[in-house]
Amino acid sequence: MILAIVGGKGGVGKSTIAFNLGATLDAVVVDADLGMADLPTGRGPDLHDVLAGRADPLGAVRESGVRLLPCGRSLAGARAADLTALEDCLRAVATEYGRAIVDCPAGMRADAGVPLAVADACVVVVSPREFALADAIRTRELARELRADLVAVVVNRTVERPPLATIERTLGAPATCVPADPRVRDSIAEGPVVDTAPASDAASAVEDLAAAVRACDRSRDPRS
Amino acid sequence: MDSEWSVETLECVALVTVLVYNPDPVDRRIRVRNELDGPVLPPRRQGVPEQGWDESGYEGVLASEKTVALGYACPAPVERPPVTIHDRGRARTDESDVDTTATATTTPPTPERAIRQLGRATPPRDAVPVARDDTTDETENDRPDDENDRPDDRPTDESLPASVEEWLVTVETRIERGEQLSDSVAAATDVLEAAGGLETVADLPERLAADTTALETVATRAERLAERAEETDVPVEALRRLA
Repeated sequence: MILAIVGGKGGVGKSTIAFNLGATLDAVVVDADLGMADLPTGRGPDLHDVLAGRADPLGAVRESGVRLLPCGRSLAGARAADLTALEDCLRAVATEYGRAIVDCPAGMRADAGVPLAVADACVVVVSPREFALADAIRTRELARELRADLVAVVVNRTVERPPLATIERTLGAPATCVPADPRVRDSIAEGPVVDTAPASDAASAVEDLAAAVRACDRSRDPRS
Repeated sequence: MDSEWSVETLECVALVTVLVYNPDPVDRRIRVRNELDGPVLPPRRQGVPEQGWDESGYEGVLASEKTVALGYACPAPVERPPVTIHDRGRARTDESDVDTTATATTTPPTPERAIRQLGRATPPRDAVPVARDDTTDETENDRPDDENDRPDDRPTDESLPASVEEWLVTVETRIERGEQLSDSVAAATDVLEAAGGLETVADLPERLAADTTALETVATRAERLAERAEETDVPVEALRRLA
């Protein structure tokens, strides 16, 4: 299964949600934000190398901790990356590891659209400050056009209870709140919140989200 | 199916234009096959071939009593009529002449369609620094073209910083090349000969678009900075007395 994590605006916490969901689902998290990598990288080939034909996708997967396929950080690498090669890369990772979770860039250009076109399903992340939900609606429409089923909406960093019914009705999917929690904010560095704070509301929210993804996967293929 | 074709040859590349008219009262599916001994270089959007094009030609639905105009390039000599038109029969009632504005119900959601419709988000060539600290071969794409774009014998404006002057000269060279290519076929042929063929200028429109955006941004910003610089009056003497 290929699951795209999208959210029209930048800074809503897509990468953090992708990372925590990846940990819970034992998936590979692919950092597909070619121009602004968010997930940790290190030595070895990265997604820029894979999309420029310099490395095999499976060779770029980092296996320690949460499995990651990180992105490069150079402008030259972003420029040399061929987006049309992303489909083969994601399919190879999903075939080998079962699930690929794609951390997509913000916005509505092809670097967000191509992962949606390839993905089987998506999760839209919104910040509770976006009461107009304009960007989330545009992203949801793009997902619909590119036929990526919307599994759930994540309202991230909530402080008070947001208008969930409005959000669910507007975007057409169940909404999950992930409360503002420093352990979520620090999870990429310190570890997934389901490990560092398993009894927290944030961890429960991530588990609920993972359950929704598994249910969607089963409905697509009853054997999985 | 009525059709007419024309060919223009530029630097050993055949530029083929085809008009196809469907006189039928129903939509028909057509195939336009390239008959020249070379690959089809189709029109592209955002670097991706336009809908309907493949390595041997074009296939699509032509609406009733409508004409379609198609064009492509082929690096081959024109030794015979360049195209053959094939009528593939009546189009199904749920088919439409799909193009880049097709809806989700008629075309599959491919990465190529996403790129065509949404546009690439790669950083422009000029944003990529020439001197970089990683050891990969990414610079191979950039260096040869920049060398072609930057001539050595232009007079420089000594009042500008060297890097700014260099960038302006590079952009000016590209603009001049674009102007010459759009001047006349004769002028374009000379330019292509000097540049080394059609391939070297294939991405010129895209680069000039990026240049336009960059120049406009710089112009606005420079004008604002100039106004601020002019209005700034540093009271050196007063500061000296207070120090």
